Amino acid sequence: MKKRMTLLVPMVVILCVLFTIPFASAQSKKAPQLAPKRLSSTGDSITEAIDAELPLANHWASWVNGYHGFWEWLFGLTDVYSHNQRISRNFGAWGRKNYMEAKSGADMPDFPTQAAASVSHQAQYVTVFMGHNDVCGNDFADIPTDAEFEANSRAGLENLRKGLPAGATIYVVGIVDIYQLWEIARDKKALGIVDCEVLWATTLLDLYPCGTMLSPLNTDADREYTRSRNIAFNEILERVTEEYNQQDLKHWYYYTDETFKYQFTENQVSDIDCFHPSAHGQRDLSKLTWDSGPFGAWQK
Amino acid sequence: MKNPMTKRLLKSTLVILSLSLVLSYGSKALAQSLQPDIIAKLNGEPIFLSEIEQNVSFQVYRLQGNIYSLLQRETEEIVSQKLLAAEATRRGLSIGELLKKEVDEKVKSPDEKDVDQYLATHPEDVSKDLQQRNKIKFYLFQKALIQRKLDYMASLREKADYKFLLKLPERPRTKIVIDGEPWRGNADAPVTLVHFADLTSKLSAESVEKIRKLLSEFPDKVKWVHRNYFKIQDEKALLAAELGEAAFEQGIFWNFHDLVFSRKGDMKMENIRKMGDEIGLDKKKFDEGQKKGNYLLKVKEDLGYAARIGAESPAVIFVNGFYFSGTFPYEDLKNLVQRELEPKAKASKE
Repeated sequence: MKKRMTLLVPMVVILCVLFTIPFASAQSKKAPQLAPKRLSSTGDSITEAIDAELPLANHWASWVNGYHGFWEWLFGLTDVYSHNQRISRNFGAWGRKNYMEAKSGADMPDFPTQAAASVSHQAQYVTVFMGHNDVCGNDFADIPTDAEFEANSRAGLENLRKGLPAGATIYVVGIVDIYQLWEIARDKKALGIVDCEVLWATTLLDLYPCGTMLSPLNTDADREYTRSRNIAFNEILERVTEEYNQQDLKHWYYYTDETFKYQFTENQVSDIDCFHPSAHGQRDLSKLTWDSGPFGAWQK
Repeated sequence: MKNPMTKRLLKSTLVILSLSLVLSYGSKALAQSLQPDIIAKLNGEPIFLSEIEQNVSFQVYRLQGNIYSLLQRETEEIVSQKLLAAEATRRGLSIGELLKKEVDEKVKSPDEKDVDQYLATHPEDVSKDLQQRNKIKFYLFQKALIQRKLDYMASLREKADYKFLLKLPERPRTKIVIDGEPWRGNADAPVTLVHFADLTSKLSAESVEKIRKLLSEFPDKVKWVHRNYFKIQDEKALLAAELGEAAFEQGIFWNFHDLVFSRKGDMKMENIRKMGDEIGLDKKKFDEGQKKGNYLLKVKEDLGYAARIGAESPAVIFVNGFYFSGTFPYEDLKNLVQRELEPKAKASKE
């Protein structure tokens, strides 16, 4: 028994050394991480904070680029304490830049173009919060295959890898659970707050949002199918991000799926369109992505 | 040194004293907990929950609704897991094996005929692209698997005795301030509708139609009050609301209201100004008042108030204090009014 133990201990030590050294050396070989002074967000209508507080784009209420200056204060608009604000607070206002490349309606095929814009701004911190419009199509044949989705994600990340300054951080944020947005719309109706189907039919510039989840013609199985694509795309994002982090020694890559796991509540979804996060929802998105993200240790 | 008798007496006195102190504190705490209506004290003066609830009852209701929904969803998830685990144990299988037998093995993969059938009902997806057909095939297969699993779970649930015991929170009655606001109908009507509306929105115009219909069905039973509610940065809505305030000041509010809503939200900035002229609004007075910010102040007061009582999306109608979204059908509004006209409801309102 004693002999077995004497053999076991060195073996465990050797195994630990074997597994930790490559990781540690890969990390130590990385270019020193830059402070995220130049922020650039890629994404879609969620990042543009569409309908968060007022109709259409509400950039001050964006989870990542949001701001709260004199006019926002005067009009009593919500302070979402975005990544932009957190960066200024934690790393200082000197040399700060806040770029939003995100565009309402953008999907993963738009990622390479938005990534190129981040590169042109020489961003030190790029957030990637895309894929909602890949899950959300007019019908099911519009949802891309895994291979298509992955190819587009890689094309965007490749642009970032090639063009961002050494030490820049890329933070990929998982697609939110769109099924849950549908559930919340159902709750809003059950509680008598608003009939979301009426709003979907009359708002958003008369475009019915996310037919693959919200269409009244969908069956439960249809919605579950869309959710399964939601999950599959997040798995791709996680895998590809990890792969880039291992292989690219010039940049730092992070992924979180806290956004998918997060249970939005009824008041965190816009009353204007019953679909996008409200300003309260944006504030929570900011907090949970910051806390689980690359700079979560900075908590001013 | 005192004798043991005195010591014992002192001890028991101390015990009694501390017990009575504990009891008196405890009873005070108990008394306080028996008065849940007092939620705070300001310089010794109580602040009652009912005072606060007058304004925020609907927001509290929304939060309670959130809790209800979260608990319901989580319970259903756990129920599904428990049912699957129990069935798997009964059949001596793992959950994975059970699902393979009951779901995977019972679904056949779709063929070209199934794809053609799908395309016949979705002509927008017809394309020569092979990839498109593969996507449809993938969707049909995955959907069939999901459907089979849903059906299987429903069959397990049917056999079980499952009841979700929590009840949806009851919709509260909010006290709405209407003093000094434009109103029409019967001043002493048993039902007061307060319409928080955006004069330039299509949805508000639709809820105006619902209220009109109601007034024609229940003449003399309804008092209709208008208050502004829109998103502050909406310039058109702001101008219309300011003109509305000026029209109210000049005694012609409802002329303006009806004219604006007759356009059903379809209007341009310059048309809104013209509507003021159409109803004979004194433009000079309006310009002066607008310059001084008089109307803006009044409008801002309305918007702040609407947000405070929980009206977050125009149009909202408060029916004797009950929140009703203008997005719901007319029949629901009518039922709510009818319920308020029943003698029991009248008594509770009083």
